[in-house]
Amino acid sequence: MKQSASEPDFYTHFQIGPMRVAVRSIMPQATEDLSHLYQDFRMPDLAADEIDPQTTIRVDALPWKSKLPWRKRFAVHGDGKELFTCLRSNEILPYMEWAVNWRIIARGESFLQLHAATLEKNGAGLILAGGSGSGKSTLACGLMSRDWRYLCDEFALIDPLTHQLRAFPKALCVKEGSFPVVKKMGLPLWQRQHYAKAFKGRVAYVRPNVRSREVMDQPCTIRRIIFPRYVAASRPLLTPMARSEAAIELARMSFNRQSFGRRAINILSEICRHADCYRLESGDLGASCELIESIMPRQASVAA
Amino acid sequence: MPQLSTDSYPLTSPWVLEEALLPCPSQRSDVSLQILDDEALLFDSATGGTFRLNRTALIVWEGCQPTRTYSDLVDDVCNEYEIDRATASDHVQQMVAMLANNGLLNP
Repeated sequence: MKQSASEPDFYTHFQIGPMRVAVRSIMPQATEDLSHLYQDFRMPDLAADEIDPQTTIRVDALPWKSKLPWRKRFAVHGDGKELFTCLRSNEILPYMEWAVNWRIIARGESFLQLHAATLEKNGAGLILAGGSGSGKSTLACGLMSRDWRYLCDEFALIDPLTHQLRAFPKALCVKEGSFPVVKKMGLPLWQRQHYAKAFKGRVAYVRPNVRSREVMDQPCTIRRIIFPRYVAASRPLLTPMARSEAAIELARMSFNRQSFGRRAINILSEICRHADCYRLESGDLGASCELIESIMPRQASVAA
Repeated sequence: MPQLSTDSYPLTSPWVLEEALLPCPSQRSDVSLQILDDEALLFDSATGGTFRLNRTALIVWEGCQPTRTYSDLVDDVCNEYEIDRATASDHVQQMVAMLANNGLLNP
């Protein structure tokens, strides 16, 4: 990667759950914003030659070298590979965050990974499994505002030996349609400028709560699995689901089940055996959160 | 009705089979089973395909052993549900066809 004179010398460095992330950007504001979002996760800055590629995900936002000046201006690299290009500076942070996500999928091989938001209450882990647009990040925001421990809004990282959830408490990415309800829940949206993220449109970020940082190394046992689907202006509805159906849905939502082979189905079956599984038609955020809380165990065993 | 859901193959029409002519189908040894409540998942390690079996389908799958006969499968279903033998035979035929079409049984 060719170095530019204006590229910062040092990487801003974070420890987020089991992952270390080092970022730098040609646009200082993107790095400053990430520093704000992850201020509780900051580690000492690193020079490029201090980064251990075995343990640290490296993300660079650099100028994109194009002969056509009206074309894309920025390129976001993950671990030295160009992953995204973008035109506007307000796209850099979302793409850097996306690059981190992609690299976690590629490098987090020791975990069985699902497309899901994960949270914990009273020692009981909750998986909100669903694709983009299912409302899992908004639900995670709502539950976090109700003093849940937030683990992640994009990945369920499952330890294949203990079948417990590990936290990766990244900043929550909220789409424009959810801005009013998230603000209503009392969570501050970080919108120094309006970020834009490809097909998702305008997005904003919510900082993980302090509790998520304090106990991010503590795994938790999965007790409830919910497949949410957002239906505007509907009354929330929870429907119990067969465990076999839940297990096969989770398999579909796994990013890396191929690398686990038969073990993936064994792990997911075992998780579903010990969890209650539901479909959720979510509408009003507050009512949806209340409904979820009503099915959580009052006091759960932390042990696997 | 037996049901087998799949995340990797479309379901195809069942074959029309004559019970008396059928040899007993047998499970492929590299297909693993996970029982969840009264349903189950099958995982085909050769293709990576995952299949969901309902209760009836699970009874048929568990009966697919080389030591048993096709009539035994029909008996298994009749013993589980209060249905006539013809209906049970239809269900078994459909299920065996679906399992075979998805490559889960020995040829």
